[in-house]
Amino acid sequence: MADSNISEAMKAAVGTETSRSTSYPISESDIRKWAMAVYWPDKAPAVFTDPAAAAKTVHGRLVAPEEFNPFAWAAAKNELLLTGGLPSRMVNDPDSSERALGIEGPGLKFMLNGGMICEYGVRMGVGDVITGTNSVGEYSEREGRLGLMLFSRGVSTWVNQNGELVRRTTNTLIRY
Amino acid sequence: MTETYLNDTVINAKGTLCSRSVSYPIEASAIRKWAMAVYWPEPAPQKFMDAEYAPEDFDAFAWGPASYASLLPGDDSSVVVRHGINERALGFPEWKFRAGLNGGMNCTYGVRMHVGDVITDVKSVGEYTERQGRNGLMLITQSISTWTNQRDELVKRTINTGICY
Amino acid sequence: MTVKVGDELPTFTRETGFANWNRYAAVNDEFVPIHMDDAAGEAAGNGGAFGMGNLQWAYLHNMLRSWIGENGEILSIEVQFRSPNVKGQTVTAKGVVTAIDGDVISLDVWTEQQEGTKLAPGSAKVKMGK
Repeated sequence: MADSNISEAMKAAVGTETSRSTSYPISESDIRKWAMAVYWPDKAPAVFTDPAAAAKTVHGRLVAPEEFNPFAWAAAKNELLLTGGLPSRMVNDPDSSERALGIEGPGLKFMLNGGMICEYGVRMGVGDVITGTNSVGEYSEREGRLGLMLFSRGVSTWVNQNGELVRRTTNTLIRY
Repeated sequence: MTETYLNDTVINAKGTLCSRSVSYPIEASAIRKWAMAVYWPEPAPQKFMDAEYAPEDFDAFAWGPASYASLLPGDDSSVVVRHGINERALGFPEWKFRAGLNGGMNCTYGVRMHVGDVITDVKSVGEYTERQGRNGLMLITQSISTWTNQRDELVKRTINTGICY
Repeated sequence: MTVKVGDELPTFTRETGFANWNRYAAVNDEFVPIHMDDAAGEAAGNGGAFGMGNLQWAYLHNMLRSWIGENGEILSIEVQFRSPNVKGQTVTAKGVVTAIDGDVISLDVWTEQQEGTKLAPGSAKVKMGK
């Protein structure tokens, strides 16, 4: 059994910016439909569907739920900062993120979503344009019930048109 | 065996306005996502990504209207009767059918829908007819949906046909 | 409202299946075979199609948002996806206060299915709305 699945090339890749996307301006209907979907079958709170109700809150305008994704369906601009192509969520390839970095992956067979951590800054609201930058996070590993498990992280940083931090998300992928 | 589905109430109802829905203003984002969905997996044409105008088949009422009102006296339903008309409120007989089929739709287009347009949909009763078929006497229903924009220009007029027996 | 350690939050519950998954797919463009197709979900080792982790995530946010009020603030949240949300499960988002530091409230949060098995456990920090 391998002592470690973390190669020097993988360590060296930590911090690499992999892609950057700029959203279309967030619109009222994006927020309204998002809220309808995540509260369904109950009615979404008026603060997400009614600009007049939203204006009375501390935000003073219609803001999106914290977990809202302004990049759903399409971005105004996508920049791939890698040579190896984007990892695809449609293909079940555990090495896709390293492949995209142009380095060799650990060749592990199974992968699962290890969870996510999210820190929030200012809220997103109607008209905001969000820029998201993805970068390679830390690798770590430990012995678990599935053998030697590799934890790799992707970091996504979102800022708005004023350069204010909207959220910083770390996703963990577990491979074994 | 049913001899006829039709009575004077049904026949005279032709042209009755049943409900009025008003859409939220159409947004670029809604046009873009609609086009991406109906062209998938090919990319949607750039004119739709730029939201120059909406595809003809765009539903300005998807996910619900901004407001809805029944126009039938005594019908206090606040629930959108999405594709049809409220036959109960019209006083139609409470037919018992074995089957209901979508008989198709027929649409005439007027002006295009653009970002910022607010669409009004008025549903009305079309012609109800009947004829003998393999499965016995069939009722052919028609509901008419007329869309206009904020300048009162006709956007489209759709006749939906249903077949029940 | 005075908040103290050990307080349990009002829960947020949903019957889950294609009716909510498909709506979420529509807003998030998350049309991934494992969430739409039983055969693809089974091939991935989950016995059938299963719900998006992102939707569990949203339900946790819904629960927190309702508790802190419109002017409250979710500062951070983290979860792990331990068990898939399969069709027909009743999923409940729950939370309990674990610490209070000034106006920052720490919580354990999780979603669980109808038998109490945790699907997505995690933690969060929030500020109550004034």
